[in-house]
Amino acid sequence: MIRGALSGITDLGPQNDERLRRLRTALAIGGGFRLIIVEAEPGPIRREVVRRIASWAGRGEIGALAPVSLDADASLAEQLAVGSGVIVTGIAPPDPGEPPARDWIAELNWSRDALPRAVPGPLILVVSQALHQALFERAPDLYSWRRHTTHVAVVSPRIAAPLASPGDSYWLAERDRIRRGLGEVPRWDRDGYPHEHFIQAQARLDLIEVLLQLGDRSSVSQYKREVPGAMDPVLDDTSWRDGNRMAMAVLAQDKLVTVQRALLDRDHAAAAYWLPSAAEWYALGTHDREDLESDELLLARGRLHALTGAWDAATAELERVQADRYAPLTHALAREALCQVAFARGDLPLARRRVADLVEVLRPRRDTWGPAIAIRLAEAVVEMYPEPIAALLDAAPQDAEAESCRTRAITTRCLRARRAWLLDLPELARAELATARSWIRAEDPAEIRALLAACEAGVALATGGGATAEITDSLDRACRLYRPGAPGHAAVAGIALGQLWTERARPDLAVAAYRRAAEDARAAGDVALAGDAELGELGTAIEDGSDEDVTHGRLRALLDQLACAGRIQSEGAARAQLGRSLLRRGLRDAAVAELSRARACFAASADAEGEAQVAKLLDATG
Amino acid sequence: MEHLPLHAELSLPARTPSEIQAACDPARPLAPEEQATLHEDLSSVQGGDRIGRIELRVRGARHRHQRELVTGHAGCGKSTELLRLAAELRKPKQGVAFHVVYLDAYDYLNPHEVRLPQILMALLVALSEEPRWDLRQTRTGPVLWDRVRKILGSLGRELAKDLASSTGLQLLRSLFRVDLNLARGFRRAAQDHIQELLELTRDLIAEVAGQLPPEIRDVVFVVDNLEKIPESETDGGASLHETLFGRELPLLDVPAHLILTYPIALNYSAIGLGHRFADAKQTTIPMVAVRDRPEVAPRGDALAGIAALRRLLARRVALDAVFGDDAAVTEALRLSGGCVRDVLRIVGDLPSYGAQPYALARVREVAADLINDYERLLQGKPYLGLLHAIADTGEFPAATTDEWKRQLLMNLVVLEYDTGTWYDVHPLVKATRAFRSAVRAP
Repeated sequence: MIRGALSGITDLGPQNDERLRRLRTALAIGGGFRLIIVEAEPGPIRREVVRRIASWAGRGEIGALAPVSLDADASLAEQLAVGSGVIVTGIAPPDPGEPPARDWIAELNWSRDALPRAVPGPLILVVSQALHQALFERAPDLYSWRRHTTHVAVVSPRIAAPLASPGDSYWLAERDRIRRGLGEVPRWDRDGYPHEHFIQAQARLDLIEVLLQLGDRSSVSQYKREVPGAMDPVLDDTSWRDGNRMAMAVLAQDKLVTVQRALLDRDHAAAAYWLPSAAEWYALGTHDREDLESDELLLARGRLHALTGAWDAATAELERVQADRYAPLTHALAREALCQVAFARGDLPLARRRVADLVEVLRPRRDTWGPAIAIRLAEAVVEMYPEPIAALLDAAPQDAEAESCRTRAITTRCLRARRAWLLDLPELARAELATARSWIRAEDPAEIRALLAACEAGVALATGGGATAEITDSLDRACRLYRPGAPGHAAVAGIALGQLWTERARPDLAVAAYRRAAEDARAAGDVALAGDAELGELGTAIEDGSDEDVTHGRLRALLDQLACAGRIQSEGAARAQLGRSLLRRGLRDAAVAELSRARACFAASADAEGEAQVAKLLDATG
Repeated sequence: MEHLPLHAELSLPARTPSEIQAACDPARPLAPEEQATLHEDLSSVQGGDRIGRIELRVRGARHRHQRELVTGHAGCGKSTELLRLAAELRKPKQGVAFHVVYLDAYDYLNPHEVRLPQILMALLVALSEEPRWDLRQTRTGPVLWDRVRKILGSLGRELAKDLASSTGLQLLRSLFRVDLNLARGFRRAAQDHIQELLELTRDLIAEVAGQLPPEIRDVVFVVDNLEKIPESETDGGASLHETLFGRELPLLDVPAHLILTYPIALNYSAIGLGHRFADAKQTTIPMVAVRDRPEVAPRGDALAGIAALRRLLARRVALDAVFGDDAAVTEALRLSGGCVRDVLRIVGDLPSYGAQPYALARVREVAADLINDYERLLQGKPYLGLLHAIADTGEFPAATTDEWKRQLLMNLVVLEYDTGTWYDVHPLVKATRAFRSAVRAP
């Protein structure tokens, strides 16, 4: 979501923090030319990595490190020969979809022997995993010169959570079609023939499947309640119960809906509780292991593992889901989940391959649910990895000429805009957004209008255009529109709104926005996001001086949670904020304790800038 | 910025973290003045003294000029060995020395436009830079230069005046490196005159060689780093490497010994480089064997190779002071697969991972990150299924395509020992999950 437009990504995780500390040590120990390769994907992750590396320049034993973004119109030697170490970005074209203006890899490889003469310090090449691969394959001589490589891949469990497509035109039409059909199926009575009950129950399960795709939790619950009632007569009839495995399968599906609903709510405990029960019913209703029902179980198990961060177990289950012409959606969802797992664990080469695989699976379904899956996966990933979603967006509608494609095309353009601003391509972002805006209508689903509003705010923030009132209006609109159907998205927009109000010195409005965002996050079952919102609220209150003792208590509890989650950078920032507040109140000892811990956090995350700022505050305490 | 010799910069063998990092710089070939201190003769564990044999062949060639084609993996020490060869050939031995013109292709050529005309010009410019001769005072030099200026003049560039000056050749060298359009235009314009240019170059070299004092027998051109020319397609859609090395460079029939480097990939292409150059000898510099050859059962460490690498490392690093135990040193050498550059990388990175003395676990910690790199870089590679067979038998299975062979060797996934005698999978690759879980090819 647009959170990245304001705060970016700050926490890289303990493993990456350690890698950066090691890189810092390597730079501090040595002198002269050294080829260093830092692998970080373009977008927010790379921005944070480059920020931290740049923060070491001129501190301790490390000399100057000049940032250099390669310019296709200038000679390589001239750009690198700045008299100090360099942090080089821009080796790949700014928009990876564009052909490169210069073959920098070939030039670097060729001019390898001249590099030590041009760069009297570290030559830090910041590359994506794809570019790292290209260096390895196309520039073996240069690559063999590397002194140190660092690989920053952020593990992001949030990406692995089950996805939904609220507002998607195909699923909305399906929902309406099945609902109409329900009216035509005679309502059951307990004396009716069992097969009528079976049809009743199956129709509801079909509808629930659609509602799950739309992420419509409340309607899922409503129809779910009706399924067992429909099946009671079936089970009461011994001739059916004993002889009809299909009936058992329906009941198994019903149990599975409970699991899927729990997964959608990120309630892994509930999902884990109900899954064995679903499996038992499947065992009763299934002829053999190759039946399509077993694929649904595999999908559920895989998603549950993914939700708990058990990546290998998730992959093993999901890879077993077969391509089945009777259950193409299950197969596609398993492929989608495999993409999510690869992205969530930060394995980009695998993620690219998985995406290519998914796009192939979705291709025959481009007139039905295919684009919905491509779009929602792109939306889930874009904030962290804006670059590789291009393949997904290419598989979605691009223009609104056909009415059936219009809202999807709007979504695609909005995501293209978001991708563009995250890759620092503001002109492209503005153009994509203008196209999306020209197609929107007042009667479009709330989620589509919310996405457009959120993107308008994001582009305005990223490009520095737009008045505060316009941006806050957009964010506020996004929150309201998202809230009923996609509370998680509403929470993210709300956090962005809180950050904006904080920046604009309106703590009262910021606190309100954060509080609402925390509620939305809880409604979406996203505890970590709720914590972020709460952290924003407490930080703003402390900054504003409107904090009370209870505020400090809540903040300390949150800080402990951050520490447990390995979110060292966020912990450091929050502790520094708390330390400043305590200092302002004259609570010197408490302030020194918090600031010292903040400094330790920044040291642990190799953020020399944060460390220096806190050190200055500590010096002021005498 | 030019480096001082390493032994003048540091007190060797290195003991402190910063000294270790500096002494184990994988990006630094040994300069001639560093050879005495840092060069370790690895020929006995690299299948013989291949570079020494090139010297012997050049010295032994009477009434003909030797063509030597040299290649090897990245990091095998090509540049170090060629610099040493140049120094050896310059030394009078049994009253015979050679005038060696050492030409680093990077200094004379643009990587995106390297063809025969540009290489001819590079030879001409390099020759003009030798203080022994003033080409303007030769009979052929001014004629050749005039021809070149006319070709350049036909490109419509206002260069005639600048090129006519005494620094014209120097200017040409710079222009060919940085002005891709000029280099490309020259190649196209020179196509119709290539025979004439070749003949004039031949005459010029014969003329200057005739001026050599009696103790210097011949001119030797050592053209290094040609192997780094990026592969691409020619205007006609052919492979640039095959066109340049297989068709154009064999036309370079100059009266001088030629020692050229070439991309190792051409060892596995169908063009048959050795046949294209009349009587050319191909030399591939292999890695140092750190594992027994496949015929030995059971296969263990190749003790001679490990001992040689230990001697090499000991010239740079005080092993007893820096490492916790001998096992740690052996592990670093074993994990390098006998690639000198990997030895230096592993040892040079140890200070970033903790304090001395470096124990076995610390070496493995450094290796773990290198293994992780391979892990990601190898994902999805079509040749993974072949690796077990290569590791077991020392041979490429029949199913290995030339392209896979090229990739495997270029990227140091598979290492070559004793020049084609046998191959092994890099130990860091063997430690990856990608290797372990690869399904063996049938």
